[in-house]
Amino acid sequence: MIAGVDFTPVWEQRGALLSGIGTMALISVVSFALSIVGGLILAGMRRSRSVPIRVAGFVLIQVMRGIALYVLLLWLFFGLAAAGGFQFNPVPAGILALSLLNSAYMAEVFRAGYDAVPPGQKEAALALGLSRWTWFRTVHLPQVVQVSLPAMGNVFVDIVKDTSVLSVVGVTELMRESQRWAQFYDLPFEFYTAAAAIYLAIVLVVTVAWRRLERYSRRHLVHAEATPPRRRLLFGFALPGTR
Amino acid sequence: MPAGHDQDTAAGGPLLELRGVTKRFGDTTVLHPTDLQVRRGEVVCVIGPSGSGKSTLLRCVNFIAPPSDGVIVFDGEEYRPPTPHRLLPILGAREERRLTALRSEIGMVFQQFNVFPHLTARQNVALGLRKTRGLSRAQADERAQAELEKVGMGAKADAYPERLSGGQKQRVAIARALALDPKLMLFDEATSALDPELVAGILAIMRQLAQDGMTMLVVTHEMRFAMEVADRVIFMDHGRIVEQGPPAHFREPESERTRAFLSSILQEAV
Amino acid sequence: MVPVAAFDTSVITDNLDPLLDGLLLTVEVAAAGFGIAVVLGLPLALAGASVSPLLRAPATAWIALARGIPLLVVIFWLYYAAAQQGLFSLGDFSAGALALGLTGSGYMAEIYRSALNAVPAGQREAAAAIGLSRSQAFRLVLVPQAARTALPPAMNLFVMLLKGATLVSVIGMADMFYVAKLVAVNEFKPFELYTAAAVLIIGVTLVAALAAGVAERWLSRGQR
Repeated sequence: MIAGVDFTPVWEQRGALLSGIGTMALISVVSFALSIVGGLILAGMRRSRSVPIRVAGFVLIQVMRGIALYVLLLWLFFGLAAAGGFQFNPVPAGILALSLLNSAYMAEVFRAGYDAVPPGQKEAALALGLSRWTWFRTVHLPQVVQVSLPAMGNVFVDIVKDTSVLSVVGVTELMRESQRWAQFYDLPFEFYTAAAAIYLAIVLVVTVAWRRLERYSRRHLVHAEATPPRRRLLFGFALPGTR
Repeated sequence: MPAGHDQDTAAGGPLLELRGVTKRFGDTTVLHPTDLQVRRGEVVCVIGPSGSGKSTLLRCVNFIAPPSDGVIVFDGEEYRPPTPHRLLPILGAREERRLTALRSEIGMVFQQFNVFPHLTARQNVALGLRKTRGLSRAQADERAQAELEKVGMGAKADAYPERLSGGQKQRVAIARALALDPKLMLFDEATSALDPELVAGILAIMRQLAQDGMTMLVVTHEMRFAMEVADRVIFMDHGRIVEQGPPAHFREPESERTRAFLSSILQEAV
Repeated sequence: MVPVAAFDTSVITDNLDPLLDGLLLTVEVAAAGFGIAVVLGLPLALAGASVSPLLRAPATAWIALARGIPLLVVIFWLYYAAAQQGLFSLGDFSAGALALGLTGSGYMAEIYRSALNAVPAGQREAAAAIGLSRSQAFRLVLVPQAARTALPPAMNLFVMLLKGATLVSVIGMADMFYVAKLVAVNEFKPFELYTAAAVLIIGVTLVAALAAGVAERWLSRGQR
């Protein structure tokens, strides 16, 4: 049974796996940044004074939340590309798909954060004679970001995990490399166990680092100590919504 | 009536005795070592400012908040703080069963009613009868209906709590406690969360219960009720019993703190 | 760019039955995974909230694994890796359902935990005060109330698993995308088939997501 486990090929292919991790990191970070931008745009649409824009924002968010990443990738790479007679470059197309879908989640995160800031803050700022833009920039946005940080961390972790799906369209990230070498050596147990461990480790590191960032963002709050203690559970924060 | 099954035992003997009962949360002591006896049929009212440890005292009696230290003797049986079994909580199962049995002998009425929102008024009352007294559903429903009639809620037996007013919820909660024929009733500020016009109805039920001979330990802010109904009044402050005696005693209390508290209460009433 | 005029609906209608059969398979594997998650999640949540580190530590580790490893990796591990080591050998449907269930259990535990925490402490006290044992109080008082709170996020989890279930075709389960791929190759109508498949699955997830939203609003209405 377990006796035949041999991890030396995994170690021999560490270069390939590392390059897969690099690709994953690059895609994750870029997609996360684009999701923030997309999320802000969608959240802004939801708060627009124009009804059609508001409705469009709502529909876009709902539809994107209903689309599985795998489905979107298949459609882009095997449906759309074939119909148009062209080929997608896997990395940018993967980033595009990840960013599109996660913009919708990010928009929901920002919306919740926006609602969580007490309206008295706006009244107070305007009463001080701040312009709307100054209020938004100096009073509102920092508070929204702070309230939204934990949920943004969830989206980031999900993006990191979801990069594995890009392997099906040929992005040579960690999962693709693992698959390739698992087949090459015919050692799926070793390579997929290693992949699982690496993903887990990366997610843990990201989670812990994000906690630090959250604490840093709260550093100026006198009651930072008084905020309810985080759950013992490592992944104890609330679900970001429909995933 | 609830008082019925105490007749065979010596009336007036101690039903409840607290010896050195203490409650600590971490480093803060909310209840300093406290001794207290309650005789059968006695009505004891506990008064004092908020945070004085009155509610904690009550919660220690039925181990809803187990005391950190001390002994509680109820109906001749001794109960001590359960040993914490952090590693294997299952080891505490026997002690826990004994405490569960104790609780079913003691009725409790809460400030926030704590009726079960997913059950109708009748089901609220019947639940304890079925699960701790082993009654069949039909027997329990019948008894529950009778208990609800006694507190004037017979017509609302099928209503869910969200359709009831605060006073009605509290009536259901009282019926729920009385249905189990408790030997002792604990009232934890039973009228504090009620609108003023609903207070009198609840107090009337409590007064009737006292007249019927129920042993009662009542935490309350209603001074007039305490003065009229109590056999003994206890004043607590900062987690200690400061002063106790018959209601008349509190017309001329000894302690300065008691006097200050009473005058603040009276001012509120005016 | 996309030749809309050439969009051939007949290739979809001709193959609608196998496509819908495939869709049903996806829904089934998601439902099976959801069932596993619902069953596993509760003991996991209870163990995670236990005072005993003997229960808490494994529950915490389980939840970390469930939420930290991508679904695709779990599917591959259960299907290929476990079989290679002779641990167990699963069919594509079982491997997919188990992967979804294990991943979902970590999320479900969290849903149970917060739903149970949302029941006011007074309910527990009142249950104890009428002499209910801990397990009775849990079954008869806490669970019925927590279930209301847990339902909407649980339905959201189902939507998440439904989307995850589309991945099971990577280990060869003959779901809708598998069918779409076969037909697309044979008839060379990939755009039509993938679009149809995508629209169908999005329709199902949207309906489930909408139902979750409706349930959320409906349940938050009656509460005190």
